[in-house]
Amino acid sequence: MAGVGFRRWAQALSKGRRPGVSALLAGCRAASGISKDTLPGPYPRTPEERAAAAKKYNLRVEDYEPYPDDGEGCGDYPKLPDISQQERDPWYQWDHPDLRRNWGEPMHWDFDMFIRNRVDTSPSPVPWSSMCKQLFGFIGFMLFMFYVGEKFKFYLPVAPKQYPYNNLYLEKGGDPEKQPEEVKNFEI
Amino acid sequence: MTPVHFAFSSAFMLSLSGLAFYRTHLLSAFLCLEGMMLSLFIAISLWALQLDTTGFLTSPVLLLAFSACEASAGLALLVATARTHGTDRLQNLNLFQC
Amino acid sequence: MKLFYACSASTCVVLILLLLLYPVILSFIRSKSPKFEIYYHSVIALGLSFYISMMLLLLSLILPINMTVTILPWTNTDVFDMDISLQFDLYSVMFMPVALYVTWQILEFAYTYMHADPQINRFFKYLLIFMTAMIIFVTANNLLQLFIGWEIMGIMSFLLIGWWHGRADANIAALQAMIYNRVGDIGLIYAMAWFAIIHNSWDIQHIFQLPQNEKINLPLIALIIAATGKSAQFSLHPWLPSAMEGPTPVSALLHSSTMVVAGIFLLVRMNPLMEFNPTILTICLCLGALTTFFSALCALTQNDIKKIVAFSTSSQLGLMMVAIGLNQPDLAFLHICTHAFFKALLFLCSGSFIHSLNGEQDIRKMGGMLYLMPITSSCFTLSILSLMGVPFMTGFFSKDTILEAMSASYVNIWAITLTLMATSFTAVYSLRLIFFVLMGRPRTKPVSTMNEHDPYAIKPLVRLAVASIITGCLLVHYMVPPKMPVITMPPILKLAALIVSLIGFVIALGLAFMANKQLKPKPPSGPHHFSNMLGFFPTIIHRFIPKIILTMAQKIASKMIDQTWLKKTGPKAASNINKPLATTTSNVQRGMIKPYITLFLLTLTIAGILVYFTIF
Repeated sequence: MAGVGFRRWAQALSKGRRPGVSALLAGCRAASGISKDTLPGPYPRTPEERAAAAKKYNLRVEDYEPYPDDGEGCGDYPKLPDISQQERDPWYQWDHPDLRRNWGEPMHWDFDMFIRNRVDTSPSPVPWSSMCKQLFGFIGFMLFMFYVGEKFKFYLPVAPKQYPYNNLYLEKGGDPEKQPEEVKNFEI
Repeated sequence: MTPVHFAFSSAFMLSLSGLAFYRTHLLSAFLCLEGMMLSLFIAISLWALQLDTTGFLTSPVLLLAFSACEASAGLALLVATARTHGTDRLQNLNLFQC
Repeated sequence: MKLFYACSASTCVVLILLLLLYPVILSFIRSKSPKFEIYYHSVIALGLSFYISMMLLLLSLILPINMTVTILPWTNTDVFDMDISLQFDLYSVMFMPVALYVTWQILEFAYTYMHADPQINRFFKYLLIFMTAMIIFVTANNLLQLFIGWEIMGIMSFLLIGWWHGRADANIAALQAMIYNRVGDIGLIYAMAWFAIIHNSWDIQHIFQLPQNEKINLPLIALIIAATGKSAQFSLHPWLPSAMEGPTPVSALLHSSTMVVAGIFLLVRMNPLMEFNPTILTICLCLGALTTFFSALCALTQNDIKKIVAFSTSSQLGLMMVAIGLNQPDLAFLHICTHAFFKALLFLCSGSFIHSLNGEQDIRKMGGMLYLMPITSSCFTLSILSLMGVPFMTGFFSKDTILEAMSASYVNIWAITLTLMATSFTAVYSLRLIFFVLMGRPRTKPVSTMNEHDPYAIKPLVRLAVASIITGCLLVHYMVPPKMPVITMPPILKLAALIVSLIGFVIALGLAFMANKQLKPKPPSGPHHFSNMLGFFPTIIHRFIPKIILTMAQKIASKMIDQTWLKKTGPKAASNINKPLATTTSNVQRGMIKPYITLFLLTLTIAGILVYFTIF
């Protein structure tokens, strides 16, 4: 009863000549979420309910498939395939050619994710898993080979290695009796 | 407590309890209210007399005037309820509805 | 003498900047007049600026001084001072004439290419503003000044790629360029913040005094990320081939010769910081090698002439990165300069072909251009030869030196392998370009509208072709590298670059002649798909990352947090908590006078009794 009084007061206030107050109240109303009329209806259980829901969303009954009733509040909203607008036929006479959409067409629940300049799901010549395998295989192979290359560095000597003591004559098992030929690595 | 004091305070208490407990007729409620006003009138007059404050002697008269107003308002309400409901018996006196 | 040099050098730069901006300012004043054509003013301005910058170059030939000129203080706080200062060293003094020359030719060419565009004045204005930014960037001795030039270049790149913004592809390409460049910018901003916090200075000369320890790895990696974004190195590269959606003069100027080298130029500038830091050098080397290989691999199977050239640009940028990784910034810089000439020429020639074929970009629909456009074809061939590093063309002097320096250093073996493979791939796709575009019979539409009568279209090509032949030699003689180049090496290493190029060329020639024999018609194979679809990189990254982010945004941010938790804990919780209380209170308030009075009497009685017992 008190509530009734308050609501009357609020209505009186919002109907008054002060647009600021009414706008504020209307804004408050909108901020609390979508109104009851625009919420999806209850989950359809019987075939008749399904048909009614499909009709409500401008879908054929065969195409209509609601989200599973797992308490996420999707209700009878149709579960549309995850297909981006980009994938649609560019040559068809869409009502919105730039959005590739028709009037009265049901929207995907995550519609804003699949508009044309966001996620693109159009088919590629090579399947997705194969593409991923090839690309990440390539990158992985490259990284591995860089690691290997870092272990075994490239070095091409421009001259043979030089050692003291006549190029290690004795240490290499040369004959100590015989005087080896002089090895000169540089001249001063 | 002098007898006079006892008289007006008991009159006040009696009429207050009458107002509280007796709920059948609106008329009796108003009568009880009148009783309370009268006992108050006597109390204020006594107060002015006993303390010899002549300045306060006007206040009982003022109170009497207000009680006359109140009585007239009450009678008007009585007539109104009698016109709308045909009786002055009220099941429960509610502020939100008559 | 030093004072004279400083004064004249800074005057030159200021003059160049004023000259470049004067057509822009003029266009604001005279924008109403329909006859006003910014083109003449721009070409005169650029020509004059080029000669002024040549004066500066000659001056620095006479007085080889590295000099920093502080023009005026910018901000002056107690703890952090910043000056507008210019740096005149080898890099800035030499890069200015190169960039101005290339820009001059490209602007002249752009007049014929864009003459039908209603917004041609604005187009030239963008190009001039871009060039101003480039000059600011090159001469900056202050990280903020550098950053300003860097960002203006980014914006101009965005605007020019999206020049034909009526096309969705152009818009997407412009956005891609913007987003990938922003990733790089974060790196630059991070490095700037780091220098400001740790070192308390943005002056590049001050920063070089920083102690060389482990801590500096962090800003250096940030700088590498910046260079990766701007110079289209691997992992941030997909924007460069997409940027070919812009008009061809834009591709020639911004996305091959000047803007994209800004990242490499930044690393060249900052080289004293990473000189003795093997980790950072190795990262640069591997990144560069991977980029040069991957881009060359992608270029092999492209069919769009501009895409091929774009990938070759990316590949050459990778080669410059390799030079940075080899700790040879001068070689990288030399390659920047030489690359500007022949790559601009390559783009202008492709633009000429495209223009005369009415916008046809597919090399499979060209052919026989040798007979139809002989001058352009000759220039095209020249630039391709230069790109391949044929001896004594411009490209040879820098490319071959980098490869020599690489094969004579003690470096990662896989990086060398990749770079050499990329070099041979260069020969392959170059031959492919020549084979498909110039040789054979025309596969174009029957009505041929092409001609080479317009001097404005031919002159720039010829001038750039001359530059592609001689500048390498000139530049090499002018540059005295501060770092000792490698001199002795076995002949096999000396000739390695040429040998791999020749091998690639011969194989490609064999394949090319096999191509129209139809020995065994086969559907394209897996590796072909990999190369043709740019290694699947754009497809996967451009779909995967937005999908993950948007799914998370949808499921976690929007559905879970906003729509569920915030609603539950905010408005719903407030109403749920207040509702029982409000209901109880209002249920009590029934407006019954009589019970209230009774209650009042009762309370009064109790109170009276209490008072009575308390007092007495």
